[in-house]
Amino acid sequence: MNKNKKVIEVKNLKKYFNVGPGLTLKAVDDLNFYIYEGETLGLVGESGCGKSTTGRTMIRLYDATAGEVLFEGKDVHKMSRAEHKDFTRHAQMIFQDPYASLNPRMTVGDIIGEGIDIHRIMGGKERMERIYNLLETVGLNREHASRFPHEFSGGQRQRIGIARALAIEPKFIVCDEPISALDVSIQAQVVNLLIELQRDMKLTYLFIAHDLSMVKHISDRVAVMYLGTMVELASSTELYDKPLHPYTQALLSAIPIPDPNIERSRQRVLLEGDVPSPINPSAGCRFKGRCRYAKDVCHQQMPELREVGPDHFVACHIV
Amino acid sequence: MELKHEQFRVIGKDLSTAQKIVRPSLTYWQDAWRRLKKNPAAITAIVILTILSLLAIFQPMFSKYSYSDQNLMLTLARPGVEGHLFGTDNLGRDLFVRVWVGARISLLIGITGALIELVIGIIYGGVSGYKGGNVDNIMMRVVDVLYVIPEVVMMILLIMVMGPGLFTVILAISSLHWLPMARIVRGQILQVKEQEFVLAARTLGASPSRMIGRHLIPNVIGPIIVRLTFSIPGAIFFEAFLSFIGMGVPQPLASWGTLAATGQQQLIAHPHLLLFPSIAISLAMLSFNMLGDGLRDALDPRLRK
Ligand SMILES: Nc1ncnc2c1ncn2[C@@H]1O[C@H](COP(=O)(O)OP(=O)(O)OP(=O)(O)O)[C@@H](O)[C@H]1O
Ligand SMILES: [Mg+2]
Repeated sequence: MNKNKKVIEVKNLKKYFNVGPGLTLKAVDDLNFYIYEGETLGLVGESGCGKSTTGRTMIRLYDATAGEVLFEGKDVHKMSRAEHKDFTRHAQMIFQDPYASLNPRMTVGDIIGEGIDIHRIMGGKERMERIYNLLETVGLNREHASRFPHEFSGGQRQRIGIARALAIEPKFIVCDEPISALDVSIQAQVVNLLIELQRDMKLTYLFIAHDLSMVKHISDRVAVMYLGTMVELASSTELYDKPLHPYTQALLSAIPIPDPNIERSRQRVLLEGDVPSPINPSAGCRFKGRCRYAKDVCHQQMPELREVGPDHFVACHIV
Repeated sequence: MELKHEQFRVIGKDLSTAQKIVRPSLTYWQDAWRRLKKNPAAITAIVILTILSLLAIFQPMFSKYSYSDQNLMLTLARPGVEGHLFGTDNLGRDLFVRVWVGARISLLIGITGALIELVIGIIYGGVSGYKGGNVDNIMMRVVDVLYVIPEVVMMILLIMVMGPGLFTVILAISSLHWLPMARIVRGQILQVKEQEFVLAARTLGASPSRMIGRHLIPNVIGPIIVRLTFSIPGAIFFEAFLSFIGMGVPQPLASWGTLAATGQQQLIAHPHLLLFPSIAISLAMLSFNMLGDGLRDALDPRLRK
């Protein structure tokens, strides 16, 4: 990890969806963070809190409602057509659903080679050789190139998706829950593959997940999201040892501990109620309705993300 | 019980067999054909349609009678008389050759009608679904409005304005028939364009033409083909209907519809005049419908076994 260079920087990013007359769904509301070169930033939160939307807006699959995404200093959302095409060579995404992320009408070879074709990187035999190499890199066989996605299992498909993202040698990859659709036994394989690739190719990851234990394993720093806002950001050890935000504490206490003695005796922080709707949210802290410590100020004012320790940021009035 | 580290041994695993796939590799179309072959109704339909088409193409070429030759000495002959396999009509024309010439016209109307429907439907529905948002809203409201017009009234009106003729009949039939096709295409495109593999192509910087040609169209083509096999018999049926109310192709041209319509006038005395064209229409309609059903099952990946 190179702490002198920020590969991607998100400033006041907002993404609202219009879901009806007068109804605004604030999927992402004012996010600020950056990722260093070679770093993995974990992004966690419950389903529907806006993790995928954040990742997709960062690589301009969605247009931002407001704010900037700076990739190597340039705003992704203000790029010209040519600049954007160049950006697509450097930023890639691995998708959540291995069954929907591969075109069922294309062979695996063509799927992996698509980036090479689009950017005219190489052709003919050289291209095929590259595809075979990629297949072997992700632990598949070269014979698989002529097959179709439906012939593969979920874990194998996810590897194909990884090979596709790697084919154009990107610098930055958004991994959108690459493992949550896989069996637990396969999850570790895929995560270890991602870690290995990062080491070999100096990749920068935004690793999205809702499973905190896997995120801890892969991430250098972890950001916790709640209903479109960031509530806590710290190095992964710091976050796990010393969670400050009541929401982070609740998330962490949901992880079972593989020791029956501790597991039995420890106090769980239970979350009550459901995630409120992100449509036209009321003023104040998004978490107030489910927070045991909520005070008056929490109902009136949205807490700012502020530094409470070295590289430890929290958005909470109580802390 | 105490387990010691020494008691465990890494036996490893054989990756070369772990990643083997046993099933033979099949493309989408090979796989669809494999499933279609297992469907006896669909195969029967294909055989019948092939026979009908071959007869329509070749029988009039090799017959010693022409469809318009009259033999006033031998009118309304029963089937089989003097080499007239299906008999003759009230002007002494050979019914056998007229049925196959009629097949040409009916199949032509069916196929061109379906093709026009396909082209308009794909373009209209494709643009609507791909653009989305307000464009989609406006285009689909237009479709909704057109849907209100009764099909039959529209066809009759068009033929009255433009005068009868083969071209007019085709136009009249396709005038509103593309509406359901446009809706199907739009729905399919909307569904597919939000799929993650389309997003992946965009992440890779794919151009719109690549997006449409390689990702969208190949993934929506199945339901379109199925709809097409149902719209061919639809067009044949409407042609027959128009002929019955006297608005079909003009004489001496014959279609299955006009043949049946003239035959119906002498139903009591000479039933064969209605019988043979009706059998031909029914066979064609039935076969296209069976083929459509078979294709729907074969092309639907969710039924993949
Ligand atoms: N295209 C869209 N139009 C309208 N609303 C959307 C759209 N995409 C996402 N949303 C909404 O935005 C919110 C955040 O969705 P998002 O997919 O980012 O959640 P997520 O954190 O990735 O959840 P999960 O863990 O289930 O993947 C959700 O409430 C969702 O309904
Ligand atoms: Mg998601």
